[in-house]
Amino acid sequence: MSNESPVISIRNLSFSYGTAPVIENASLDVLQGQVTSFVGPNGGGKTTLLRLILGLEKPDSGCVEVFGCSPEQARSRIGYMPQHVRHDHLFPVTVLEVVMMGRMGAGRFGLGGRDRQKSLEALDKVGLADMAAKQYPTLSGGQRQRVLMARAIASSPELLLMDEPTSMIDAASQNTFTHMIEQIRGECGIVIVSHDLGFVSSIVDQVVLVNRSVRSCCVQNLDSQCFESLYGERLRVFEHGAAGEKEGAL
Amino acid sequence: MRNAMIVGLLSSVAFGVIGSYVVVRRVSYLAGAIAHSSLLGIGAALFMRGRFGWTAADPLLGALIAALLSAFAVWWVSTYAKEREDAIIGAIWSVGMAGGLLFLSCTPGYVDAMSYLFGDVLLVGGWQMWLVAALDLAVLLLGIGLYNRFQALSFDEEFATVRGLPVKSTSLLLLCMVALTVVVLVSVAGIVLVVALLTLPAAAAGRISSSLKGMMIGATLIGVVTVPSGLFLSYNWDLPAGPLIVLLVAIVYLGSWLKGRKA
Repeated sequence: MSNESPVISIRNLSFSYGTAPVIENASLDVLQGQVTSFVGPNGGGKTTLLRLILGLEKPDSGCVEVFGCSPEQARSRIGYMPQHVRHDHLFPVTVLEVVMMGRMGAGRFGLGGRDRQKSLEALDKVGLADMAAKQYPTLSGGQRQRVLMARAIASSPELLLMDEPTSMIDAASQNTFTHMIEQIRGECGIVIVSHDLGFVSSIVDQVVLVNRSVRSCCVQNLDSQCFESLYGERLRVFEHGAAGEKEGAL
Repeated sequence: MRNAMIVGLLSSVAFGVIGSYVVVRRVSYLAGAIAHSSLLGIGAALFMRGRFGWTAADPLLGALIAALLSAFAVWWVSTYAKEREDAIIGAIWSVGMAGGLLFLSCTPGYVDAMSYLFGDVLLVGGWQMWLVAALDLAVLLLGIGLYNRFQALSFDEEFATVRGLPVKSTSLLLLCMVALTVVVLVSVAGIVLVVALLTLPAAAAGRISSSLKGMMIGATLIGVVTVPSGLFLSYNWDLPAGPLIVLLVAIVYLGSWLKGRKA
């Protein structure tokens, strides 16, 4: 897989909700086959950046290109996992039916056996193969997140965007998640929005610090100064794979 | 009476299918606005007929045009209005009724507004059965043919957008189908009571069924039982059919609460 062509290319992007600026003059590339994580404080604009990449929000200035096209044109090649879905809590729908919605697309009116097969495979990847016939609203929060994950990968996307995919998932399922990312990395570009850098740093190649401004760093070069600039205060930095922890920026 | 029975049974299919979408998509107040504002069309048609003698101005045709226009207005507001959507929908609701009532009061001769507001089975003529059957067919073809799309739209509109589905036009189509269904039901239940027939059977069926398809079948069956029962009681007790049907449907809904606690 070539690492040359950017999957997502953002140039001088600014966006505000009314008069409140959310993203200011952001530029960013996400490369094919790379795993990128957007990290930053609450309200820093991580989810908004994801929505701009999906074309669900329109930039005030600057541009977003996905696969060299507009987000709207590129959508069919993107798998998207929202943080949660505000659905009717009595919606009568099975887990498999939810995952199959990931196979819908422009020009498609019905779904068939192949869609069912692909959806079952996606469920298997997130470790929920035995839950296909269960009612979606009766699942726990963590299980629902994994179903939404399966829905995002059911279309075999070339770019996978996930918003806080592990926020409600327990430790065992986090391993399933890491395993799934390892399985599909290389097949597609992956962007993970997360507040939990400690968790994602073991699987990502690039970290993008989002706090109104956007700054990308290679995961090896992350240091406590990055975080101070991001959160505006001293933080405790945990070193992955190391036995202990060290105090940041003394 | 026989006509009313046939129309009631036929319309059960329409409100079972469309009502299920209305309930899971949680747009019953949009359906309410469409139903109530169709009085504008009924009033306008009766006014034109009474004042100018235009026999082509049929109240049901007026209701159809007004309901479709109001579906478009409601869709536009719910899609593009950034704030106070519910207040504007409420305004469409009552402005439509106000206009209709004014037309009725300016219409020469006696016009019984009650029969349109609360339904009157005697309004059902022979040609209306064909209209209801045609609307049923349209609702069934679209509602079942586009099942996957409506399901995806109702479950998670944003995701459907990202998948490249034509969310705005599908949403408008659904509201137009609500408008058609409302018109079908006007002669049975009247425009005030129509929302109960759209929502209660579907909500009751939703408590016990495990799929949207099952909900549609269940809601249709509830209609097939309650509508003729209401008409039968109305005939025997000399009471208006619309309120009786709505009460029967409400009893079924309450029953589903006792019976159907989903695991």
